[in-house]
Amino acid sequence: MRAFDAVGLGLDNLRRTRLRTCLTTLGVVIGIGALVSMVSFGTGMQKNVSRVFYENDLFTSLIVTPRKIDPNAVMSGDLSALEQAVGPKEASLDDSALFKIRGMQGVMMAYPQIQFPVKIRILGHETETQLGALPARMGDFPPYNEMPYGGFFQSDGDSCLLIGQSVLKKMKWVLRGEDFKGISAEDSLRGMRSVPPDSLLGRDAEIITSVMDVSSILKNPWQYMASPGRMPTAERSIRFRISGILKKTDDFQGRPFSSELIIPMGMVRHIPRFGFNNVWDLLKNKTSNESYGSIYVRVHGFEDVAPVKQAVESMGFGVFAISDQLQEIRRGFLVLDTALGAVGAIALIVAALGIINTMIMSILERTREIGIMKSVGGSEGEIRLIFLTEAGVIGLLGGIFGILLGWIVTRIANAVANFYFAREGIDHVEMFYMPLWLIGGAIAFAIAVSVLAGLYPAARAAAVNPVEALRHE
Amino acid sequence: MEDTIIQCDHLNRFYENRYARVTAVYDVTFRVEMGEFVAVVGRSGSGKSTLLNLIGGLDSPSSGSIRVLGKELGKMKSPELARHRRHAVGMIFQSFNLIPSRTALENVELALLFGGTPRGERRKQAVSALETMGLKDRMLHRPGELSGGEQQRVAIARALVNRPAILLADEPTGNLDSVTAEAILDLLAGLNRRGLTVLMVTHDADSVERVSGRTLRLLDGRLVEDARRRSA
Repeated sequence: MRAFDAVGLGLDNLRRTRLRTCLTTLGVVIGIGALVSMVSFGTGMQKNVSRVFYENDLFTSLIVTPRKIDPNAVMSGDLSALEQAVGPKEASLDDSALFKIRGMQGVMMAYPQIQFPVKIRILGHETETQLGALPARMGDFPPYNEMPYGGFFQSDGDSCLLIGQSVLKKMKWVLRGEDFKGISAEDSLRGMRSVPPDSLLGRDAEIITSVMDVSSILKNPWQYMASPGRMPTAERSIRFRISGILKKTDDFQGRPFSSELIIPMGMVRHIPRFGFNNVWDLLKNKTSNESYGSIYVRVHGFEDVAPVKQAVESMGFGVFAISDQLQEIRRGFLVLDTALGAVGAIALIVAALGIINTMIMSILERTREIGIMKSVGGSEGEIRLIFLTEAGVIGLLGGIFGILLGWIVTRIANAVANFYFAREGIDHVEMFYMPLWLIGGAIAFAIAVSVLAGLYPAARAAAVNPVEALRHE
Repeated sequence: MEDTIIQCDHLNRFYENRYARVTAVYDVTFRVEMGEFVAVVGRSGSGKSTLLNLIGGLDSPSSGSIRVLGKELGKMKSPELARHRRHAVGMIFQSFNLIPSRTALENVELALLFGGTPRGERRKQAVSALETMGLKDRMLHRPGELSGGEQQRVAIARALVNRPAILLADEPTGNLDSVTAEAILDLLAGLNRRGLTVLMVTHDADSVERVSGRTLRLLDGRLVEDARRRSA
């Protein structure tokens, strides 16, 4: 018997018992629908995370810290790791180290990560945030190469400022850009107002920092010596021109730093401030005044990450590369996909039991027919093939319609989720992703499970005694 | 010896279960020459159908030997037995054994399907077989829409569509009225005259006397008579 004929015969047989076939197939449809929905949620999450990573160009980024720290060891209370992290250190992450790193093969750029808290004031509106500095070259790379409004600064000496949309939001301003959907009544009551982006570009912003008020100390030194915890501070302000507005970050903190205010690297020294600003600064070589808390290194390609990392580590510094986490992230998502797939597979197992039941019933009803087929020359293998084909056809139909069901379910779930996200002011997110491999894999899996479920009934059919079968009423 | 088409030697078939052993065929030995029309007669339970099933490859002997077209059936594996049923023999039954949900044409095609005959050729041969049986206008009817005689003719068309050397008929007229039964017997006799070897099981010896040239009589599984008629 030719395979094509077996399929034809299988389809014929299924057509004869339409209702039963439909109900059995429905079980597979639900199973595959559940499986596909679950896995497409996992792949959707993975895709979203990967997209954010790639958009922020994190796979070619390294952060160099003054000393090598094993965060896992520190977290687990390993005292030697902690001692290594905070103890005295010979190598200093200073300008000489910076120039050495810049000269390494594969390094595109390296600059110290500078970030400190400031106040910003625009037209009387004021808020607190972190200020960061970047070299002008970073304007060629994501996410800074695509500024939604305005542009990146042209030189390291420009008195320019890039401002993030979350900072504007804290100042109760919402940009009236292309994606502006109006202000909700609730936000309106909170005092939110929409502003056109152009009205901010080119406008001056005051950056205000706190410094130690030395004149107060000199006026009354005994008071501060008696209570050293209460040091006098004074505010210093410097003006910058807003040259661009940054992309929305979706609260993602993975880019080189999370500053929502960025000034050119060359302007940092003009801003008076305290000596330390973040945790890396505390790890600096305490004997040197010119060392940095951390250095951002960008390499040319993904393949340069490992050699540069090794070279920097051999200098005695710690290196953190997001790409190191990539394998862990992938493993995590694999576990997530497997767990979600397992939940969906339970529905498919139930469907497989339905197939077994249906086919055994079918054999009982068709015992005489099996006997007739054997009497006219049907072999055991051919009888088995007919029944396996029927199971396979149920699987194929269940797989196709299951994908359709899964797609419908994910569309509805996505629409519902985004409806609530929109109410919370969160941008539209594609939560589900159904790649081709998932579609093909789900259909293949449905067929495989169905054929597997059909093995026992098919074997029973093949083993039917033709003499007894022909007597069967 | 060259013309021997069926040869049974000391053939036995027992059925056993936990409580009893039933002898269906016991020490049966006979030969059938090519082109013979042999009637196997005997009372109910005498082992006629079992003997036919053994020759047809639907059942296997407990001991002894059956050679059909020179091949020993007892040593054949399941796929070889299927090939034997497909090409060496054609079988018809008292209850016709047609698949009720399929048309006459599809029932006949079924026999060709297992041989792997391509669809177009299958259809052509099935139509030709049904036309030979005078069922040109009934081929798209289902068995339930056909008379008993027509159903048996569909069964004969199905049995012969693979051009077997032997037709095994198990009580082919048992469910038919006397007129239709006569017509089916005439049909079988005609096929025999054209060279087909026919082995027909019947409990009615008188009805086959005019068409068969030889009668094998079974009693309690034993072959008790092997009678040939010169006039046949």
